[in-house]
Amino acid sequence: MNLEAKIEAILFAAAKPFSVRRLAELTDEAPKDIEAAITAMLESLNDAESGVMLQRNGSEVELVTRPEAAEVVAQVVKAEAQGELSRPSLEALTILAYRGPLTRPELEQVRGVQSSMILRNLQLRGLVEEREDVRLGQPTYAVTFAFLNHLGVASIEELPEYESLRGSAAVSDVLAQLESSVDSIEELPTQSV
Amino acid sequence: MSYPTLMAVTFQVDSFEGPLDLLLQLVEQEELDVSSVSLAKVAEQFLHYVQSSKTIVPEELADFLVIAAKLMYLKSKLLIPSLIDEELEEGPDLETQLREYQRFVAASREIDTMWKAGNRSFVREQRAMKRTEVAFAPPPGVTLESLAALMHRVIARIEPIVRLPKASIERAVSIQDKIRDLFTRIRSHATTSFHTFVKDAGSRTEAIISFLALLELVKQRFVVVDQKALFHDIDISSSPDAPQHDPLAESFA
Repeated sequence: MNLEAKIEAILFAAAKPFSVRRLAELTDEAPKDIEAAITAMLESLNDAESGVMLQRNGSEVELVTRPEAAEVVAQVVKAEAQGELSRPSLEALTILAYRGPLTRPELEQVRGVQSSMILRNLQLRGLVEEREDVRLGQPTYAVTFAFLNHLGVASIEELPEYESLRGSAAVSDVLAQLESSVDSIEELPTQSV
Repeated sequence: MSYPTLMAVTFQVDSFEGPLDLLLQLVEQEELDVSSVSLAKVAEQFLHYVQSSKTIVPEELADFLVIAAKLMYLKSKLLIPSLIDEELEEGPDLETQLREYQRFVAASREIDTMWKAGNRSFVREQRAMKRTEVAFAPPPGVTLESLAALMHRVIARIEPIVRLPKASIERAVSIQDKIRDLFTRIRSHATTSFHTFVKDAGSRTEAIISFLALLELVKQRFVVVDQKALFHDIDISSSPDAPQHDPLAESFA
């Protein structure tokens, strides 16, 4: 059985997200081969006339139903009611989706306003999670599978105008400027939150 | 550059989520693009809001003041181009920052549309498939002897079920006997009663079988029965139009 089929079987049976690293351990293959298999699956499985698709978030993948099947599936599977998003929540989620993972100061730099409450609320709703990687001595935050599921996209790359907003040099500038100023702040003692 | 009419035109911004949101709303209401000139134009309105707004929470006031300072600096620079403040030049350029913010606000509206569309994906429910391990887990204290004893009990319980067909064959045979018996009696005596018929019955089962034999003969119209009242004896007599063949031929052929 080829690697793609094995990965598909694992994702189906366990019904939860798996990291590339974990899949490499389980299948006894090199992480770069897992990466290649996932890339191939994202094309083959997601282009096929299938009711399921592969969803990718950062280094993790999960098997989910296609958004086109939402109506029929909703009859048999209960989704957690999420309700509408407030404007600040939407703003923070959008920025984290396009530019994440970001530290809190980075998010605040883009929004121009302190965002600790918003981040906490979004974490409570399961739409944002703290990532393992720490930057500038701060934890980083990114959107979750629950967020991608709610939008029905296979990955954040499918969001409108992803490339231009993700790669926007201007945003990088804004963040780079922050980095230099945070560096100077960090030299001060006890700047912990 | 003329600003005298600026304060005369007062736009109403109903609510804002932060300094950039307020600034963007002010610029957009003036139908201006984000530029240093347009920022300078709305600078005073911005200050006006910061001073008068009751909705700015203390924790966010600093964020508003940072933007206000940048606006003032930007405006001064337009009037006096040679003015360069090292400290205020540091940090993100307000115009760039606002333009990027504007793009994210636009993107967030699209996300909102997708969010509300309801075309969502579902993760398979985890309870659906649980692998069950097959294993022998006897309770503590089980010995070979107790297992053997249990097995005997199980076999003993199965026995009646295994014997069942034999019992029903026996019953069928005895019904045949009873039919033959009753038929012979009716032939020789023309009449009899159910009471006499079951008089010799050795068991309850035999009495029931006798009754079944009677019903069978009634059904085949060999005999007619008459009961005067409930629980009275049943008179059995030969039917006037009894068939000529052997009753056993039809019932158990």
